[in-house]
Parts: sequence; structure tokens; C-alpha cells
Amino acid sequence: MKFSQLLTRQASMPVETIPPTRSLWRQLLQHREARVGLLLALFLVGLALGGPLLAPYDPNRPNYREKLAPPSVEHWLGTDQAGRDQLSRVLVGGRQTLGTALLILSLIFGIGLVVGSIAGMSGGIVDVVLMRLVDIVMALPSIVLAIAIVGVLGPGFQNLILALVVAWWAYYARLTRSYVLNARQRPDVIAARLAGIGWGRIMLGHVLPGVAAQLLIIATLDLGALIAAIAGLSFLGLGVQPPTAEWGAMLSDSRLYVAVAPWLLLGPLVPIFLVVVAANLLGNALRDILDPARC
Amino acid sequence: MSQPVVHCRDLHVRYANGAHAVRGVDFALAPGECLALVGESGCGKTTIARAILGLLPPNAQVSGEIVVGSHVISAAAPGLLRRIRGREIGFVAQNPFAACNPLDRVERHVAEAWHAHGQTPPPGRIGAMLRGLGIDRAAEQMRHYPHQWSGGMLQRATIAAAAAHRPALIIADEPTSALDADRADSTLAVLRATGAAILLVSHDIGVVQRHADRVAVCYAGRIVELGSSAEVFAHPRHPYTRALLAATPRTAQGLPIPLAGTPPRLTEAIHGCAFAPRCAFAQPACQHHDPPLHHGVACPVLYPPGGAPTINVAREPETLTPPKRAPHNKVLTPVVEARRVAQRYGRGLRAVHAVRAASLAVRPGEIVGIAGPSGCGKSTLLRLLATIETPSSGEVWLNGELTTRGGSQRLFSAMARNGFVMPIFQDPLGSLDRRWPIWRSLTEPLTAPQRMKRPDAHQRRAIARERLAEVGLAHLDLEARPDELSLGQCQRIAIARALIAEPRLLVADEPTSALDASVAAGILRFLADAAYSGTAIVIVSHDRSLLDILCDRVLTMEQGILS
Repeated sequence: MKFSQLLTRQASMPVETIPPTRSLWRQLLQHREARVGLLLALFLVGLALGGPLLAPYDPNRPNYREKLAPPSVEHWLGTDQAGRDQLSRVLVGGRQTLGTALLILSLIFGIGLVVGSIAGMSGGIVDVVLMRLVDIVMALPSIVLAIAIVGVLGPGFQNLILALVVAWWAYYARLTRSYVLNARQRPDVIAARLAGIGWGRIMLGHVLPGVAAQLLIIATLDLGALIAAIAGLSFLGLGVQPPTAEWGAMLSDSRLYVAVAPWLLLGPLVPIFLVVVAANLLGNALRDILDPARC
Repeated sequence: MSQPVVHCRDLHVRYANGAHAVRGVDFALAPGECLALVGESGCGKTTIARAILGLLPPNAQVSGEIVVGSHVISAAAPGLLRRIRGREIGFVAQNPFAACNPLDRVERHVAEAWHAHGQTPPPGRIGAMLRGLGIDRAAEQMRHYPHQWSGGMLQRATIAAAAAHRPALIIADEPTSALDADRADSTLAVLRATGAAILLVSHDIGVVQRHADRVAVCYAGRIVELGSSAEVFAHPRHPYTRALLAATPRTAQGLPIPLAGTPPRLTEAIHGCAFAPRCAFAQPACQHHDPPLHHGVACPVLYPPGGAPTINVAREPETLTPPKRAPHNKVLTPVVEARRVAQRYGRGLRAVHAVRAASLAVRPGEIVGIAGPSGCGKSTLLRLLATIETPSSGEVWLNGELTTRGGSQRLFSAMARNGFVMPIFQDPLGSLDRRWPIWRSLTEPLTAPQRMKRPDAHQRRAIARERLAEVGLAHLDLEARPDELSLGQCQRIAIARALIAEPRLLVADEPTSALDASVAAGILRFLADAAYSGTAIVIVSHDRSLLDILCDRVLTMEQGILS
């Protein structure tokens, strides 16, 4: 099967009966793409957690006699501009990269969901104020906004997270709001309203599970972009501080030496690519499983 | 019969998931003839039409033979199919608005018939064709965009495109179901006027009866009865045909009779006659014999293999007595009363007056129908009565209490949010939360905070089991999700959900228009029963004959004015 086919699953045909298994986990395990994605994700998480144990060298020890060495038996992925073993840095950097990205993503997710729900549900002046705030954030390019925030607050790990969350949450809030507005007119929601069910329970029971499913799909697809953004800030010296190994920063570094040491790109590029692929596969699978109108 | 335009021999269509959608279909169409394929959803009628067009998805496996003119479609290469489509087979889709790109002028859509074959339309030809199909000022109107045309007009344009190369065959898949009833007849007349042989796929029995020459009744991927339209409708012979016609609200002789059961799952192997499990005349032999068409009927009882009919099928199926109607007392307080309610969207010159000063009072046990074409404001009126929307002027009273008043967003009485009014919607699937198991949706009204005794999950399942049995769904898995059910089952659950709240008023917006007649008849009975037990019902539909059968009074709405 071609990769493109793997990513865009063919729409299935009529009279398909849905297997009676209910739990999301079991459905994921039955979904072919999800299985590939889960395996990849498991591998990457394993890499992030166990990487430091596997690293053959100290990732931060420079060795200027061997800088920019090509791949060899001693250094499988070569060495970087400071002579540090690239493989060790890739293995150690995973924890930093994945951890930061997932932390930021969950913060964005939560803030977007809460703000969007409040705006969509309350309407009126609250909605207007919140949405103008969203407009302002969205009008500024996220990376520029993030740079500005880190620039004002000073570099550092916490500020990096703060900057990216502030620059990124607005998309999720807007998406949530539009979904909530739409859901207010849904027949099942109207029926619940007329039956006397309160808005809070309607939100929790009928509306938010659907929104969360939508956001989760976007979030898995955003993971790659977020890793790139962290890398960008690190590249500018505003994010992860050298000599900490981090894939994005390593990618930025190796870009400078692409003419003399192109193999350096491979080290961080392949795991980032795999993260994005795993996230996409899982995102697609989640969309298939969580979207009830899948046929 | 002269050389047939299209000829199918032993056509089978199987999908990769194991569904055997078409199971051995034979028919032929003479030049200029109109053959209608009728049957419930999922009976394979659309699949047959698509197979002739060569438009089935790649996971469909077609066997048997389809011959159109001199081409064997079933063995044709994609290139040949492209040349045949449009030239020898025209196609008219269900929804003309979906078939047209909203950014292109109507003219361009018709011209596409030529462009697709690398030609340019002869000058003036498109205008002349549209004029011929009854479009006034065609040369001017065809420069408009699809949304500026009405559905009926646009469907004529797609017919013009389909007939551009004078194909011998036009396939029309539900060409009228997206149109208002009064436009359906003229659309069919236009279609017939093209002179082509027409394969009409429709679930609208009335349209078929008026326009088709011959009718093929499909069930579970087979043709069970094939005959001239006049004969099949006057003297239906196959038990399925009889049941289908009995379920169609055609006359004012009482409520139609629902068809029990559901069609078989095509993914499972079918032994014997597929209709036998639902058939009132089924014999043990039906489990083994699935005879081919014999004198136009495929029924193991009527024409058993090598023998005479064993029973007399000519006897009438047992008739259901029309539900009793409670006399509604004029003295009783109206359950709902609208006093000169109006609803306006937007302001100034662009304002849309959806409802203009409508007054209406509905008393307990009364069924009031509101008829009218699409966009006449009848759904808006219903939403006002249910207090889902606040009117821009006028008042809505529920049970003698003021609930909403024009210009105020305030709800004056909590009654409106107490299950006093419950809705039934057009979209059965959307009426239920698609993530929830059906027991949870069904019993949700019982969990409203103002109710004294709120059942726990265990009790709710037990209640759901009882209520499902009342709407004839005792066999359903309580944990099933709406997507695993048929539309008819979803709608019955939606009705059960509405009734569990013990509403005094039911508002139903086109409750049967998404359903097959066989299923819709059952829905109408549930509504009639609810009214007998004292619930007032306001039902909105574009189908006047249905309202005439069901309702005590039918009001008409036209351009926002209720009369």
C-alpha cells in the first residue's frame, strides 16, 4: 500500500456494520492505521524515555578534533560542529522535544476548550469580547508573537512554554466556539433543552465530547508544527538553551552545515518526521473512530 | 420488443465488505419507455442505476451482463465508458443544487455536456433547449447562477444537460425527491418529453404511478415484481408490493399500514425468498425457494417451483383499524396558543419575514397539520410554538401561561423547559446523540433536575427496555449507537424519547420525510396513538395527502402567512 493511501483512508462503502466493540482503545487496536501509529508512538516514547540510557557517548561533551565527522562505526550518525556524537544527542533530545511539545499542546487544548465553550455558550457581550481577543491573537503571526513574548520576558524554558501557549490557543478557542454555536441548533440538544436539561449538562454530555474529538484531530496534526516552532525559537536563542540536546535546535544547527555535513540533518529529521507521521496516523484513526458520521 | 436500449442479464453487485447489493437482476428497456425502480432504501435500486453508468466504486464487483445500445458496459474500459456517458446515457441527479457548482453560471453547466467530449455547443442551442423545457426568457436566465434558480428550474437545466446529445437512455436517480411535490410532476413530464428511454429510481410511489410505463419493485437486491405501471398499482400481486402500496399514504381512507420488520442485511447470506421473514403469506417452502420472475412476479407462494399456488394470496391482508380519536373539547384550555406571532430575521429592506402575524390554538388531543412549500415559514412557526425561538412580535401561551413575548428574550414560564413541549425532527439520526447508547438518549428527559424521582443508570436501562417495546423495538440492543440503526428505528426512539417526558404538546417537523413509506406509516400510527391519549400534536409537512389522513385540521402556510 502506498503511503498516501495509508494517510487518506478510502471512504468505505454502504451497509457497513460497525463492530460491537465499544471501548476507544479496542477500536484503535482494530484500526490498521492506528496500529501503525501506535507502534510508532510507542517506539518514539520508548526512545524519549530510554534514550539517555542507550546513548553511547555524553551528548554534551565536545570533541573538537572530530567535529563534523561523517557517519562511521564509532559515530553512527556522525558528529556535529562541536564534535558531539549526533546519535547520542538524538537519543537524549527526544525527551525534551516530545515532553515540551505535548505539555504545550495540552495547555493550548484546555484553554481553547474552556474559552471557546464560554464564548459559544454565553453569546452576547462575553462572546464579543472573547472573540475580539482571539482576533487580535490570530491577527499576529504566532511565531512573531511568541518571539515578542520571549523577548520581553527573557529566554528560558517556562517563558518558551508561556509564549507558545499565548500565541497558539486562539485557534482552538475559535474552533470550539464555532462547534458549540453549531451544536446549539442540533436536534438532540434542542430536545434536551425542551426536556429541561440544564446547559451545563448539555455541554458536558452532548457538546464537548464532539468538540474534544475535533480538537484532538487538529492537535495531532499540530504536533509537528509545534515541534518546528520550538525549534525556531531555540534557533533564535530564545527557547531551549544550548548545549541542551533538542531535535528542533539540532535541526536548526545542522542546517548551517548542510553543504559540508548533510548527514547531520538526518539525525533530528528522521525522528521529527516519525513523530509527525505517528501523530497523523493517530489523528486520522481518531477521526474515523470518533466521528460517528464516518460512512 | 424492438432492440432494447439497455439490457441487464443476471446482474450481480458485490462489495468488498461482503454485501451482496444486487442479486441477479434481469430487465430490458425499450426505446422511449420509462421503467421505474421502486423499493425501500437499501434495496439496490440506486446500485443498479450506478452499475449501468459504470459509476460504482472500485470495491464493487459487478458480474452478469449490461448492454447499452451496442456496448457491453460490464466489460467496457474506462475510456469507452467516458465516451458513452453523456452521449448514449444521460444522468439526472437527485439534488440539482448539489450537482451544480455554485460559482458557475447555469449556461456553463449545460455546456459541460459538450465540453466533456471536447466539443463546443452549437450557438443558441442551450437557450433553445432550455426554452423547450419551459424556462421563460431562457437566453437571459441561463446567465444566472444556480442559487438564483428554483430547484424545479435547475432540475430542468440538468435534464437539458443530460439530454444534450440525445441519448437513447437517461438514468434519473430520485430526480424529484429534493423538490417540492408540485414541481415533481412537471419535472417528470419534462424528462419524458426528451424522448429518451428513462430508468427512474424513486421511492415516491405517487410520482411513479403517474409517470412510469412499467414498474420494477426491488427487494433486497432482486426484482420481485415487474409489470406495467397500471397493472402493478391496480392489482399488486407480490406480497411485498402489496405491503409497500398499503404503507403509502395515497388515499384518504385512513392511516397507511406499516410494514413490519426490516429488510435483511445484505452482508449475510440469504436463503430462499428474502421477503419471507416479513411476509404475511410465508410458507415453510419460502425458506428454500427463491424463484425467478414468473409472469412478472418472483414469489415462491404464488408460483411455487413445479406446482400450483398453495394459498390464495388474493385475500386482503388484515386491515388495521384506524386509531380511535378522542373528542377534543373546545372548552379545554388550549395547550398552545399563538397570538399574532411574527418572526423576522434581519432588519430594514433585507429583512426576511418568515412568519407574519400567525394565530393558532391547539387543544389537548388535537392534531393540527401545517402544509406549505419549502421556505414558507412553517418550520419557523413550529419553533416559535415550541419556544425554541422567541418571536419578534406576538405572544406564545402554553397551557394558559405566557411563555414568550415578541422582543423579549426572557422565558416567562419555566413550563416550556419542563418537557411540556417535546420535538420530533426531520433528521432521525441527528435527533439522538450519536455518541450515546440509545438507552441514554431515550431516558434523558427523565433526568431533568425539576423531576422528583430521577432514575439511576440501572433503572434507566429497564425503563428504556419497556419504552422500546412500546414502539416495537423490543429486540434492540440497549447499548446500540444510532449509527448502527436504521433511520426508521432512530425515529421511533426519538418519538419514545419525546413521549417519555409526558409532554402535553408534540411538535413534529417533517417527521417522515426522511423515511421510506413502509416505515413512515408506523410513525404516523405512533403519533395518532399519542394524540388519542391526550397529547396535542402540531405536525409540519410538505406532503398534503399525509396531513389530510392524519390531522383533525390542516392549515396552509404560504410566504409566512398562515391560513
